[in-house]
Amino acid sequence: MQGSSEAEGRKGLLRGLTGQRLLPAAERMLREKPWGDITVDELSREAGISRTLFYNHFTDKTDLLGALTTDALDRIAQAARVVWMLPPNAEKAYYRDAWAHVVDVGLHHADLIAALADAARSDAEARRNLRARVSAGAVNIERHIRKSQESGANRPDIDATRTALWIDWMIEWGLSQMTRSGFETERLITAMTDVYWKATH
Amino acid sequence: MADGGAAPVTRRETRRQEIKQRLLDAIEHLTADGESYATVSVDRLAAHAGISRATFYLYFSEKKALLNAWLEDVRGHLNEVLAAWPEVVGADVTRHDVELGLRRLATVYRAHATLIEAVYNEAARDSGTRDVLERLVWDSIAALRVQIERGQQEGCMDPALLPGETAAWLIWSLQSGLRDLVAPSTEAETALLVDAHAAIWWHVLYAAA
Repeated sequence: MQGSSEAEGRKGLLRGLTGQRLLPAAERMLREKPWGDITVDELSREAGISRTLFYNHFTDKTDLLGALTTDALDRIAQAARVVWMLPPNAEKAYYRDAWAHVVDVGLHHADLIAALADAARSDAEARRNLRARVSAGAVNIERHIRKSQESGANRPDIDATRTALWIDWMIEWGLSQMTRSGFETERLITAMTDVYWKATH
Repeated sequence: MADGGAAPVTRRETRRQEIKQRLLDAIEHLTADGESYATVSVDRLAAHAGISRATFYLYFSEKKALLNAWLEDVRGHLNEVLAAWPEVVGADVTRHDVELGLRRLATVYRAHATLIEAVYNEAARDSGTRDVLERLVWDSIAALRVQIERGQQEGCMDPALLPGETAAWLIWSLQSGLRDLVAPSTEAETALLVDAHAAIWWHVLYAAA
């Protein structure tokens, strides 16, 4: 009993450290420069914690990024459920609203997502995490395409598995690039809905 | 002096191109054997390419400059391909044309996958390489946008498309998919992936016109 509450206490401490100290510090710094240029020293200083405390809880910067982005990615996945719950014959306007919701949540964490995308360029561990996420997301898209195919709402010749993979990478990568692109968010959402709609209908 | 003043410059450029190609081949060999671009030394790279260290530095200020030079080549090549797109496929483009175009792209990508990985790794730690890489992507988006606008005028592409934004999503899909789906796949799987991607391009750009 004693042991488990101690473990709970440690977990709570870690959550507090991550959520209340390191998350805001990372988000502040990411507004200034890319993730690759931020050091553990700077990050610890910004968060007001010691380097030792940092390394007590995280093996390295990528490990921290994993902890920071898990929450954001969960929220995006949660938001995407609105899309998967649309009936096969739903009109395009409903898809647009659903995707707008996903993008809204995504843009709320745009800096973190971009940091993950940047880290995944060169860090094998970050890349594995991102790939696992995308695979999980692609399964949902695939299921959605198949459901529509069965109901006759979309083309039977669509390769559901591979179309889903392309679409999912497009969204995952695109979310990290949207704010850098200079395009208006509303127009990007319209274009993305159009791509999704035509690719799957 | 019949060949004029520009000839030595041209010869130097030709020589530089030749040496660059040998060095790039050397990188591909070495990385294919499990070495990483980041850790391989200029000495080893030069030796593998059959040139001296001094010759390397005659043409490239540092290892990174070689990779950036290659990226610039790719960018030029990609822009040429995109600019020539309407002449190649014409207004009566078919789904098969789209498949062929993307298949060619996938083949080139796979042939240089190790070099491209080196670029991505370098881009994570070097802002110069990062800028060249990002410019390449923005250039592609801008070029595709021009093609969409032209296609809409000629009546072969869906007039309702938002040209720039649609171009952005298609290029983002292509960029991440080439790296994460195509590069690690077998040839047979690549063929299926390319067909699925071509279907997306076809239905998004042309089918509704």
